[in-house]
Amino acid sequence: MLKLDDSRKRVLIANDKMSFVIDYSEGLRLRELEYQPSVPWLLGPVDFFILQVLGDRIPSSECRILDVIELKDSVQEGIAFEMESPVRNIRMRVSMLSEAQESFTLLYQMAASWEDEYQEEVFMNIPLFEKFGGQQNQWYLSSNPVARPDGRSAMCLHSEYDLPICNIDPDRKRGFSMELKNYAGFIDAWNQNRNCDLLAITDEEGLKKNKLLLRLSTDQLADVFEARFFALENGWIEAFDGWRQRIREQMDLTEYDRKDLQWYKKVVYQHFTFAYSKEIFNYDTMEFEPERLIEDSKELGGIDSILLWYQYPRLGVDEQKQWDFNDNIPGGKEGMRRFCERARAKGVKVFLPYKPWDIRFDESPESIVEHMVSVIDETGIDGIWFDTMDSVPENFRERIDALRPGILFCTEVHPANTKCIESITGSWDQHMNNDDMPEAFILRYIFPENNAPATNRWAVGKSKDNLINRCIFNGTGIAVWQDIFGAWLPFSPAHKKKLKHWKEILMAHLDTYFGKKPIPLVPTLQKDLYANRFISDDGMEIIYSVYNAGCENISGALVECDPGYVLQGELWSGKILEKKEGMIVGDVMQGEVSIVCLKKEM
Amino acid sequence: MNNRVEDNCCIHILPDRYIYRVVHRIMEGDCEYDHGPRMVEIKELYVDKYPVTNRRYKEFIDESGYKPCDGHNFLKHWTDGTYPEEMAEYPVVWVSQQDAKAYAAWAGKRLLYDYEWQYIAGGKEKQRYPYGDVLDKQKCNHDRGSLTPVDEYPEGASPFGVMDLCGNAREWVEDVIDDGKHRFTFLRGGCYFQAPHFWHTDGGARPVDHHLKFQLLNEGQNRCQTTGFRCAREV
Repeated sequence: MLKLDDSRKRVLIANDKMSFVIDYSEGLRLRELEYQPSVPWLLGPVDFFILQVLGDRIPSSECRILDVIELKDSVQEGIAFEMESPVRNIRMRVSMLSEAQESFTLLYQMAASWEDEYQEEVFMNIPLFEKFGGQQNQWYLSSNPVARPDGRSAMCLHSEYDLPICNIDPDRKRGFSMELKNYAGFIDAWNQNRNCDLLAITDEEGLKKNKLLLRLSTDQLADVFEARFFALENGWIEAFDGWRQRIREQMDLTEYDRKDLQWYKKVVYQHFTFAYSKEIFNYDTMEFEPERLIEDSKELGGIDSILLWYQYPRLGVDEQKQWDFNDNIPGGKEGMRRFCERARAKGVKVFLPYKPWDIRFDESPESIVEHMVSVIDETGIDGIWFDTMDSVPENFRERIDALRPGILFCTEVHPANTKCIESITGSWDQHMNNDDMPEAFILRYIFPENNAPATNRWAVGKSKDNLINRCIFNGTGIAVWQDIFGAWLPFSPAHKKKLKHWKEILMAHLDTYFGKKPIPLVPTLQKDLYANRFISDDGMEIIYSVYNAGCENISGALVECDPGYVLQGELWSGKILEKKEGMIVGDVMQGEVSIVCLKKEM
Repeated sequence: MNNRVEDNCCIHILPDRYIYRVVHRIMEGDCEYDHGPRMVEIKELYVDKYPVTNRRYKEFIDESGYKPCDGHNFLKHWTDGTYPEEMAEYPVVWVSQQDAKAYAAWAGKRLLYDYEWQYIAGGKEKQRYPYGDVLDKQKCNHDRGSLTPVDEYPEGASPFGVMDLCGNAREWVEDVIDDGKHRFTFLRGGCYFQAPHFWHTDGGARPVDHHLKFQLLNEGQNRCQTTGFRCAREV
């Protein structure tokens, strides 16, 4: 709905969930913003922007309105204000458009005519953001949606996916989210659109005092800020879910539906197997012993796959390439085939690595993929693990599919971009020298089908505890890595016991943990308490994995109990929990996890 | 055939003690070994002046009938049981540490221990390279891209007069370390080949006080295109 009141110089633009009142009686100001019927959040007026150029301060309320243009077609409606600055020859257009999905887009565009063609610095402040937060409203900044006790983000982010900035009422339900599309190809480029600066802000003060440096180089209007507003009725859960849906609906994720790759969904405990280790190799018989490794691994819950590693750090001693080593190992490729058969007889899949850095002048993408095809064909491996890689050359998938179905691609690190996520269905959530907890990895929650076991190769002692807690907190498997190219850093009996227990829980609730709609870092009812939420696709079960990051044990209300659900119990330690007044009440020890399980009320 | 490299030509090394300290590029994987500084004893030795050549190794095979249990990659550069004629005086490569030890036993010798190799290469002067303290590509096969004869660089001799210690072919040592989870040894001297990437093992001529941890697996994987050996005999 768009109502233009020319006598009062006001425009109301509204849908069922949000409304904006724009005042153009004195320059341009935002007068009201409501995200629930009849309960205004913002009672203005507030400038849309304040520019600073060479000592001149230019608020939008002091700019001249040149034209007010109603915009309407069969899909959208809105309003655009053409403006100019009183000094410095800066032209602006501020537009507000209602969009599908009950959202609004606010767009600032600017241009400058410089007298002598030499551009000057133009700083833009958006005062609206000063109104965010306060009065115990909940904040979610894109680069620090939920802070750890030390202030750093508890979300491990991905450059491809910018979380919305949210402002949510103390009831944790109502509010709005603001999605800022970042079109910047890389962050250091001085793009005209400064959304990237706002997305990078990690603290409340930074957003309130925002100061964006614009590059206004021509007299053509350029986008400098663009935000899409969504009203929220269910707080962060709704904001994240809607944002995720908008990402996913633009993607082709059918690779994850391939029947021949479904086996990977249950490969949750993966084993990095250093071939030069007695963990797998018998120096008396000079043979690999997969059965022994698999048997030994039962102590930690059993392994589902082996990544057999015999190339690095041996490569480079001589001119032999990674492909040569497949013939050198015990029995050569035929020996490898027997190895795979022996492992599979125990229910364990086998991966071999490919190393993109071991390339010589006589190799090409075509020759490499043919080598790979030959290895797969002759050894019968189940998947390829792409060492150091976050993407895979395009011809690989097609060529390997032509050989035989069912070969899984897994990258060592998180997929680089959308295209990679579409085509590579496995990856490792690797944390080297980083045992930070609590931490939720964003891709785990946008693309839960990309099975990514966590690992931290150099972890020892408490760091290994943190790694296991990370798995429990994020509902993931683990890449068990005890022999780091010759450095033996085993899990202790206590670690193994913990891993075994976690695997039992994970497998018993796999459909819940790997449901399509997990939510990271949901609101909790205690300071320093963090929680992720997992829901089965049939809605029958909800799990909250909870972590106490404080210095004290926590006792009391932990999380809200979802309406229509009853408390099933605590899965990790079997502690007694209670449901009281719609809240789950119990204890979580300092530095420990707790797994709260709810069932749909029948 | 006229043998250019004199057979059984040995250098007499007198007993000595020195402070052993060895380093290496730190890649991933620990090197469970005491890298010093520590005092080590050098026994009186006769050390091969040159690495064992293809010609000498063939003599060993012909006389001993040596045949490794796992022959994969064994003397891979040979055809029909012999080396290319022009490589007679090249260091023998594509032999494992076991193949090297078999030769040494046949010759009544052994391989050098890691600390001995360092002393023999650097001399009492503890030079950084056998021929001096600065890398000199004119005095060793640092990056020629292929092996060269063992006597190619007479100016590359160590203070004791031992030849071809650095660059050309890496050398096996006698040591085998078992740290409980792995078995490994060291390669010495570096080689002619330098792989291109950061993740590849170091190549080229390596300083005297550097060793390369080499993790042992089956013999097919242990044999290298760049690794040969020399022997020594205790007096």
